[in-house]
Amino acid sequence: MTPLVEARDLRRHFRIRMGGALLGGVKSLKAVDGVSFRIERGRTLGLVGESGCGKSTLARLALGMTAPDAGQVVFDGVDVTRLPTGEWRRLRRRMQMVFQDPLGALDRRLTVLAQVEEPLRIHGLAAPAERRERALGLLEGVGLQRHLGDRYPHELSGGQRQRVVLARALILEPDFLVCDEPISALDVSIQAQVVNLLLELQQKFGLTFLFISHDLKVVRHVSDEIAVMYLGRIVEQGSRERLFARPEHPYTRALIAAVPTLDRERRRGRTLLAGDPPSPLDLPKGCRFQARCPLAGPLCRHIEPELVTLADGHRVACHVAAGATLERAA
Amino acid sequence: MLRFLVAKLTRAFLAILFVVTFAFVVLRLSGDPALMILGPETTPEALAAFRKSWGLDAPVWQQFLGYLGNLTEGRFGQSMRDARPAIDVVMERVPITLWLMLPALALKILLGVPAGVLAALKRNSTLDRAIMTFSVMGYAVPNFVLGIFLILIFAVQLGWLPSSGSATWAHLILPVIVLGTAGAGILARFTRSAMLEVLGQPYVRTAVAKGVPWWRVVNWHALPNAAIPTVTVIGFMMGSLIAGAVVTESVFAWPGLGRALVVAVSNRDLAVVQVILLLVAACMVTSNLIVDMLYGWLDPRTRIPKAGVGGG
Amino acid sequence: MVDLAQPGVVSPPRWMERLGRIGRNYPPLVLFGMVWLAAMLFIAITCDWISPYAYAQIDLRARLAPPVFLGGSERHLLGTDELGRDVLARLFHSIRMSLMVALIGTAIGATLGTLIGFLAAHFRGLVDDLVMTLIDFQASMPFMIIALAVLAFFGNDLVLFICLMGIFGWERYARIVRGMTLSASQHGYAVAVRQLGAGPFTIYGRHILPNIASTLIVNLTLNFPEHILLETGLSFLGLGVQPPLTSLGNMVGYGRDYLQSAWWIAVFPGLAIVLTTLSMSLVGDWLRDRLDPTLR
Repeated sequence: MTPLVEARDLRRHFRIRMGGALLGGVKSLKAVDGVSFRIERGRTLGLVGESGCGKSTLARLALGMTAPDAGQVVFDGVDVTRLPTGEWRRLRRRMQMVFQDPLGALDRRLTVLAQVEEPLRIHGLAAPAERRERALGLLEGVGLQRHLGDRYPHELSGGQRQRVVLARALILEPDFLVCDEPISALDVSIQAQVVNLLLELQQKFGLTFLFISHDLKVVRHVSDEIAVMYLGRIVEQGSRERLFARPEHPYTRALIAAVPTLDRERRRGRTLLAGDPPSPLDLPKGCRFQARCPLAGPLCRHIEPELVTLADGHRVACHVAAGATLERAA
Repeated sequence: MLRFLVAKLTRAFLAILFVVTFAFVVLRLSGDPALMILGPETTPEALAAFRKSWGLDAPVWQQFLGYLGNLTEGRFGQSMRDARPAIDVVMERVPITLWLMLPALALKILLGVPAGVLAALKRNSTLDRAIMTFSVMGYAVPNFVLGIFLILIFAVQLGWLPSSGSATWAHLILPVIVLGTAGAGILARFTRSAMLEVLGQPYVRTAVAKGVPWWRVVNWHALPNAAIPTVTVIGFMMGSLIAGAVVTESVFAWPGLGRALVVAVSNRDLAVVQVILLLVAACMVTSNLIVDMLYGWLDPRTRIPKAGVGGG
Repeated sequence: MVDLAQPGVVSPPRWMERLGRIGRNYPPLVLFGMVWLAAMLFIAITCDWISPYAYAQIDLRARLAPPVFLGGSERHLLGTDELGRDVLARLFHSIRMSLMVALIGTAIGATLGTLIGFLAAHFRGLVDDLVMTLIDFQASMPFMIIALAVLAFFGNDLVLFICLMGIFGWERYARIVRGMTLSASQHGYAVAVRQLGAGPFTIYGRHILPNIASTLIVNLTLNFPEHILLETGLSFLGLGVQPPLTSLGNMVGYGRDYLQSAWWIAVFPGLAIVLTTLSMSLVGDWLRDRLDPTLR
């Protein structure tokens, strides 16, 4: 079965001008540095990592909103990263994004209904009366009462706004939805509702998700497969069950250990992350994680580990993790 | 600092080049330059000779380079009206204009800066309102209307002061008042808002809270910091010294550069207009440069550009 | 509305309260400015009907007649000029001309600046650099000088003059629009709309422009009096509106020669200029404080 979305070796580097001397140098910030993944139709890939690890850049790359420096994103057989503007716009009908900050993503001057209708207007679909009806219907579909359509964004609660953003993304009936931290700006009490709504809509419309979050708990709840990102690279990737049952990478282990739990056993063997990640402008030679890694050995200081596929299809980029060394030896 | 300086100098150079190009293009667009510069009564032979000597038969880009060459050698063409080099016609007016503008600038600063500081210190008092009303008036009343009203009162009705010319000290009074009050209003407004901003800063409030005497807070902390935007405005005024008097000089028949410019424009004496244009541009660019330097001196933060992401 | 006043407590009558609220929201000076501007607009629109004479009608027997309150005849309320033309009629037509030139100039400047600002923000890179250089240049050069140079090079007619007025002030709109568009494009609704597949016209016209409109309108009101000052200044110098047409600056300019004998020729148009620019500034400042506190 061919995947709906496939990213191949995506790279996006930002050039940062260093101030100071007359001949101040230019450094390269490797926001996304060689990322590949595949998402099957109707499935969800969860992408987890600390803030600043390149998740949002990856989201924009996946939708073709930012051009990569290298690599490509193939969506249903089409490379979206180098499309002419017109075709790229047309493709928006099939791939959409849900933003982290719903208030910022909405135009404060237009009513909610006008904004939910807008994608139909932009793409010249349906007559005005029908657009209105479809928008109202979809508002109900995301759990908003019809009369809220006449409100302005600032008159709604955070959860309601995110529902509006969802409705706007879904009115074009896309196949692929990228959710960039869709609930992190919401009150904790609302988060679960919105997550459940997302899952419900996925069932209903057969959506494919790229779900990005720093919160492993949420990612675990929604994803079929999970990729862990650290400083621009995927360090571990596998099915939800495998990843949580037997995490390979020390970083993944630390993340899982940091999830609050009532289980006393688990709490005792917890490895916590020490320190901050190194500056993405000054990546160390060798493994990116070495400075914070409890298991780092001499090899890690010299050679950057590749993402290797284990026998069971699980993928990890670590010299030390048991699976990987075995694989190497074999 | 070096990089900062290089950037500023490049910018200044570009601005001058832009003005020169503007003058060149417009000169070419507005008609035959030979006819324009030599005047309509020139013989065809003289025109041809002129075209050849100025390279007007060459391609446009060569003409442009030639034009640049002429400018750098100080050849700006003949004044159509006076049959003299335009540069001479302009330069002899410069001291007359400065004689008017320097006292006016002094009046602006002496009146505007203290008024702005006072208004800020006595915020929302009657004094503040009076100063701000005065400032709005200074902005809304055009120079020529104020000039006319002053002439009407002090020259026509009271007969105390002469209404036009530049012969004596007395001739200086009315135009200086007109120029000075208008500028003082603008300066007062800028100084006031700069002071208010500084006075609202945490370090000033901390100093006050710690019991540092008020005059010391103002002298040590507030004034030097408020000086930065004020200096910018003063710098701009310096740059426009030469240009600023166009209207006022006309009202009072003051035979300075502004008057010369108006006369040259009416007569379409292009060589003279062009020299004045370049002169004004040079003044503006120079004063902007000086202001940038002063910034570095007044604001230590710009002295050493911050190292780090996006700095420089 | 629910009346919250306690029973038994005497509250001031409703109308007084309302008057107080109006007084607080609309300071007397601002109110005066609005009334004055409305009057000017009324005169500009109706001056063909309310003028006592045609503005160019010469009456050589009634030259330099004083206004009616200085013993002049009732036939010329504000007196006449050196050719016996009615000052009131000329004043009305001058107001129309000055307002029209300033209005069209402001409109052209605002449109041009907004477009250029959008272009700079849309294309970035070289276009942006070029636009910024132009903006810096125009902001640092006194516009009066630029205007005089253009008039010298191209000669004068009304259309060119109005176009010239249109170039004045565009750089401020361009700077505002560019800055606000860039910051809007970085994050938030503009990104969201672009990602919906919208083209530049939808993004800029339907979303960004309405969102920055209040700032632009405030700038418009502050820019308008400057246009009046520029027009009247150039016309005063004899380089703006040319006779037989008349403008406020024009009238003051010709009246200057008659200050000794007939001061009213210059003084009434002078007052009209001052009151109009003053009103506009007052109303503009007030509007700015209400609509856009960030612009201070």
